[in-house]
Amino acid sequence: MGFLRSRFFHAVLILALAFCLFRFGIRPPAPWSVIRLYMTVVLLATLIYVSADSDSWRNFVRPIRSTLMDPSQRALRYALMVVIPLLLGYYAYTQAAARPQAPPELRAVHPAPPDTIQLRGKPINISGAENPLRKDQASFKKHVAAGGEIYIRNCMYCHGDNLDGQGHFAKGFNPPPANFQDPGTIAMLQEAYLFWRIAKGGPGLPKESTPWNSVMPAWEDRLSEEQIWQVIMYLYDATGQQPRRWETASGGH
Amino acid sequence: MADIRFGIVAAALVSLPGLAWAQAGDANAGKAVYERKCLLCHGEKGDGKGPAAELLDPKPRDFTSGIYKIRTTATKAPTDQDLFRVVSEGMPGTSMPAWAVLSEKDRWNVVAYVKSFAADKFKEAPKKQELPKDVASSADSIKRGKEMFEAIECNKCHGTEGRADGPSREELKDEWGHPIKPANLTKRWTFRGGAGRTDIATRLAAGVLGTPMPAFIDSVEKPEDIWHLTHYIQSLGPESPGYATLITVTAVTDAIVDDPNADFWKKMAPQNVGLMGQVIQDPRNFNPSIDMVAVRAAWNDKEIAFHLTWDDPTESKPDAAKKLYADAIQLQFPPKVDAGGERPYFLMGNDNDGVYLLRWEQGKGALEATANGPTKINAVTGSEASGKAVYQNGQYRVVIKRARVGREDRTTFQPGVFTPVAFQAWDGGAGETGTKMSLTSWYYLRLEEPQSNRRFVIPPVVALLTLAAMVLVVRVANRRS
Repeated sequence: MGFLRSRFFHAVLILALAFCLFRFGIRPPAPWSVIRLYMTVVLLATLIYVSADSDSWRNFVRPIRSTLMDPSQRALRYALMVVIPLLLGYYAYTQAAARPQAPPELRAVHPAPPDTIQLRGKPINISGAENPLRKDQASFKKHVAAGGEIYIRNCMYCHGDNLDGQGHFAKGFNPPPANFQDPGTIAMLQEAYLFWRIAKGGPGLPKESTPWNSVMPAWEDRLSEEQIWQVIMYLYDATGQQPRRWETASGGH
Repeated sequence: MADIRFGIVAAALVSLPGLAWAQAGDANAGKAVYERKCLLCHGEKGDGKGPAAELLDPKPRDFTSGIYKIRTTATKAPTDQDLFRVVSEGMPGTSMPAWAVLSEKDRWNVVAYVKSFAADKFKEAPKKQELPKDVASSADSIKRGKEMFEAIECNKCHGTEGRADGPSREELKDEWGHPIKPANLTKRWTFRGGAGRTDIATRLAAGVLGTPMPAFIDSVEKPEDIWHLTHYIQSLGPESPGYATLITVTAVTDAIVDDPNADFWKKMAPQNVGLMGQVIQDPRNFNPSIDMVAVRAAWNDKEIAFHLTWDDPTESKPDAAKKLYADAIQLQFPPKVDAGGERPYFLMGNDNDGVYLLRWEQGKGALEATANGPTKINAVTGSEASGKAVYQNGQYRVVIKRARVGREDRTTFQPGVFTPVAFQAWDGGAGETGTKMSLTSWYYLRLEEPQSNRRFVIPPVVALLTLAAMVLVVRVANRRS
């Protein structure tokens, strides 16, 4: 079992283990570009490890040298000379024959909201505004129930019964409908931000958010101010998420 | 106390093989889940009259009836497992989603609660629908299935080629007197009870309760015909639509053929695009008739042509008094393809920013048009688009052809450029016209560049260079020593 002590074997083992760890050990799976970066770091570290002293380095290059020069390794040498060019040639083929993909659409997912918006001619503060319906604790249930009805009659088709963006129209649209269960959506936004997005929809998005692609309607045409606040309350209640608070300007502490 | 006793009895029943139909769901706990997750469609009383009901088609189930479509039983009531499966996997092609996000316990509890709306219907132990001895699929089996399909008159509702266009489709009513559509057998992914072999065979054998679909186990000639029919149905369409994300236009050197049924088009693989209802502008279309269009496209130096295939159960006879309109379909493009990616509003543009359309309309044929919103379509004078359409067994196949380079503000199609494209369609026979349509948001279209030889040249060069480098390394190493 002499090969177990070989530095070359160590290096190969480290690289293989590291690759398995990055490829299968990370959930959700890391993109290939990230894995490639990590593997480069591991490769450098491995080279430092095997070249720590000259004995170790000689130990490391011995199997490589013998493969390249030793007359007894001639068969292996020729085999590698066939296999490696073929592998690289195949890789080149997969790259050259690759089918084009639709170009990625870079867009700002949560663009900065305006300070105020006009809702049917009435100015509404967005910056710093809170949901006015939350002041009346006694009517909380009533508002959430009303919001649920509004949701199921208007929003469910795209955003889904389960508020996960998997409604039955979802498959036809890009960008896909927002998934409210995802902590990256309503949980990191203020209620007034949602008010702006619901009232103004896709057509009210700034340019960097590709307004021509969003199919989100401008709900100010159909819902009243109160109804929009109600459906927002339903979104948070039904998903169990909490709205983000505005940072107080005074700071205070 | 009663609950505990019920629990013990239920647990005892579960532990007995053969009596596993009574699962130990807790109806009281199920009520809380029901009220949060099911009530908005199925209603507080379980009568299917929740606030969403009027907009939905098919309607939410009325649990007080105790009638269920999907069951594996020969008796009327489904097993608990049947109900559990529908809750867990949803009903494809309807608004009922898969509730796998709920814990298994919650789902069993909901099943128990849902049953309690019609407790008397579940008193008897359900009897399993036995399926005949399994037969493997083969060309002969499919052939036999086709004969049976006609013999037991499946085509009367489902149509000759299974596209839900049979002559009886207009008269079909469900248990509650609502009009009901037959299943489109070429779209297995919309089968309510699942697309698997056993699922299909079970529906054929036991029927779909509350609908005009009867149990066929006794009407087929031999019991195994259930399997032959299943195989025939499976042969009618793909298992899944495999929606495309990029529409490729194939480069050809010869002339592009007009005839939609020509081999020229049949040889190309379809690129399926899902269509959704238009619910932004009034009148809205919550239950669109056309849910998919299959796109094929070809270009040469002079011309570009699009071959569109979609299912429509009727070739409409437009008659505004009967709310019947012309069937139509169109491809939408930005008049100028902008490198920055900015496009007109996806819903046929707006007043400031119009779109260019290649449109086919029943009675008018293929034409060029522009639009500034869904109700402002203007035919281009001197339209140069030409095309041909055929309607056959519940399906339209249309070819729309035009010069590749467009004059003035008509889109020009350049090879290698990602050109935005969107689709809209109307089933006039279902009362669709104007804003009542099916549509998509923007997709990309790409004219495939003529096949280059790169992929045959580069790999051998890479392999040879690698070999040369290796030989060099070996040589240098040997010389040094």
